Amino acid sequence: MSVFDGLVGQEMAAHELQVAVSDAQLVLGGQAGPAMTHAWLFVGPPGSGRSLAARAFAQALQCQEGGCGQCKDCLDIANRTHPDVVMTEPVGVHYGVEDVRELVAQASGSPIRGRWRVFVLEDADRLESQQMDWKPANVLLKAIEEPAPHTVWILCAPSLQDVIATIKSRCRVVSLRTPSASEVTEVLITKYGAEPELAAAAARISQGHIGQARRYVRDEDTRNRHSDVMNLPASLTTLDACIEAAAQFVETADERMKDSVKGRDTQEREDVRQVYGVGARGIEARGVAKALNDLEKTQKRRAKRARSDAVDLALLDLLSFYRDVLMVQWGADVSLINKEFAAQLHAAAAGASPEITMRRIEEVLRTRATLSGNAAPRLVLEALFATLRDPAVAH
Amino acid sequence: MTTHKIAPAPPALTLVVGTEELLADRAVSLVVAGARGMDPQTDVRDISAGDLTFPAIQEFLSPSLFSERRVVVVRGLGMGRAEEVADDDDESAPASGSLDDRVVAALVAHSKTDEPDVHFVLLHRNANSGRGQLNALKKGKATVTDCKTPTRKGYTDFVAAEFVSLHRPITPDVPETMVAAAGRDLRALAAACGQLSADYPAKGRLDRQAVESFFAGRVEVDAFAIADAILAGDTGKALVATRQAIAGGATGPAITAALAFNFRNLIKASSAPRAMPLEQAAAEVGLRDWQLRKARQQLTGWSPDAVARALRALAEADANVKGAAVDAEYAIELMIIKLGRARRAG
Repeated sequence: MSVFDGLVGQEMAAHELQVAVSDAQLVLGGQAGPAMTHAWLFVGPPGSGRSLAARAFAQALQCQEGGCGQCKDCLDIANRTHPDVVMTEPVGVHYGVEDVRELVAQASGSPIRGRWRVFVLEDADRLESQQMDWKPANVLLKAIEEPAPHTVWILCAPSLQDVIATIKSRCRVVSLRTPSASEVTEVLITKYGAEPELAAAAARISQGHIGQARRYVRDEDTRNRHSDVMNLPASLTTLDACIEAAAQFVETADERMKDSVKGRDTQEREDVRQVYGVGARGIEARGVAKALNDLEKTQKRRAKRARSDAVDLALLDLLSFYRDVLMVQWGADVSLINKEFAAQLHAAAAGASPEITMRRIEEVLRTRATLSGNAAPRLVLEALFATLRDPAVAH
Repeated sequence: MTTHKIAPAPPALTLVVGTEELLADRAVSLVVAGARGMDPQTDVRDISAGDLTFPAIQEFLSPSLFSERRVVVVRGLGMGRAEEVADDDDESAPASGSLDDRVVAALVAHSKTDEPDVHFVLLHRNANSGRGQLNALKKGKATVTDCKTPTRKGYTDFVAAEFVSLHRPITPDVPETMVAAAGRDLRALAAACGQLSADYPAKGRLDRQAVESFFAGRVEVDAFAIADAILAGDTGKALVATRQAIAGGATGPAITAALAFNFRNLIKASSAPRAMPLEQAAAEVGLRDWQLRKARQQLTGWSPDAVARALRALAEADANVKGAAVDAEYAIELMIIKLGRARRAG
């Protein structure tokens, strides 16, 4: 059993990485290993398993067996406790310059326990931001170009275009593809023991995003949220219903956000207080207010991102709904994403022309773009729903 | 503005605590005037907290050869580290807004002097970090003058007191009107009081009419006044109100939020059942009864499509004032015009 078996539909990439792992062995022995290099860029659409692939590669590099998935190295990496494998993701919307500087400093060391020092940067497309003068990406450049002898960088991004050219040119690219619905279905059945019918629905609705498909299969709340979105368009008959739905939407996103950060926030605050010795007798906790303040800012950024991610996921569901409506209206012979909601889809298709459906799709897309800025989500959603009610108001 | 009263003999140490500049300036001039009343040759020194070192205070306190009187004004105390230069890496250095302990001890000792010829005035901003030192300074016989930013009632009281010191009788509604017109700015209020009592003949009491004609209808406008004008369909009035609100310090996000709130009420009111009694119908849709009554009046002239267009304009403007557009003020004005158009289009 190899760690690469867990990658769904990525035979090509897995093969490439396995060759690299065997050449890495040669490099460690002082020989030339052309298939191994020090900087990798994993690209693939959301859900294609970029971070899984990065983890598998890290395991295969550290493991004596080339990625058995069973040894201490492999398990520690899976648990994110391996001292030589650092996996990072941006805390807020973007990586901060300070975060990257710290990584670069760590990267100059030698391996502690393993054979390589591996740094995985998820969402490497968020390294570059014009507001920060491309700084986070620039800080990384030198470290990626000439790393310490046993340091390996693995950057993950949705596509090559999302990564700044100077970084791209210093990395070897591994392309991952979106796994097909049948591949995802099979994984859900064999690995997670899902009912075949549910697995098939999950694979379709998640559009090849394995993480979301798994959530759909396992979590009833996720399924309910999806069916809420499917029932939403029909309910937008009056403006009153529109603002009600917008409030509901934001509230649901808030709950999801709280679920994802709950506990973690309080724990972090406690940790800081403990580090500074707050409450201990005779210790003057200097600087603790500032540290707590910084932490709170970080947590706020994280919460904001979690909330906007939740809203965005729901909007994607809405988009898939209108896509299906359009397919029904055109009588196109393609499979519907939301097959289970045929009644809603046909009702919506009968109630509008394809032109109107297209306008609705356009509005949802525009709203997604607006929400990536700072506008109040509730107000933006109210405007969206009021427009979906009757797209004529957009002109 | 000067005080014509004879100032009392100033204490050895005055602590002026708070951030309201006008009041602080007045406290300083009171001490200076008092000292000058005793000795017209009084030497006034204005220094920053960082300059009040131990040697400096020893020099101030040592007897002068010509026994001249001195006032030492020390500014910038209790600022806290955050307000100073940000890149100060030396954690051990005291913040420049705080004093050497020996200086504090010397000041406390000096404050107990009976007939001082040196008068210290310490301007203390009372930020969190400076509070300990402030308490230490209060241990002697210092006179403490409170200059914190007043509450709403504080502003009207200030206006009333101002006219008393100007010996101008006023009608009771004058302070309220003045605060509504000039805004919460003590300097502007003090200037207006002085101007009003100079402009209007001394006979009789100064009344509300005089204040209103002085300010010529310039009454503090908030975002909700804009909403009222927009919902009534008066784009021109709404634009004027917008300019006034922005000039008065209203921010773009506050304006869009207030408008969104009003439009939501409008939508809720449109779905409130007409057949029910007002209170019951209001409770049904989650409004207060006065909100429902007002929103129902505003509803005439707003079709559902017009409201939908308005929501679009609001959402667009909200994104714009929060960074999507270069000019937030223009974005707000454009929104007002679009809202007016939405209503007319029906």
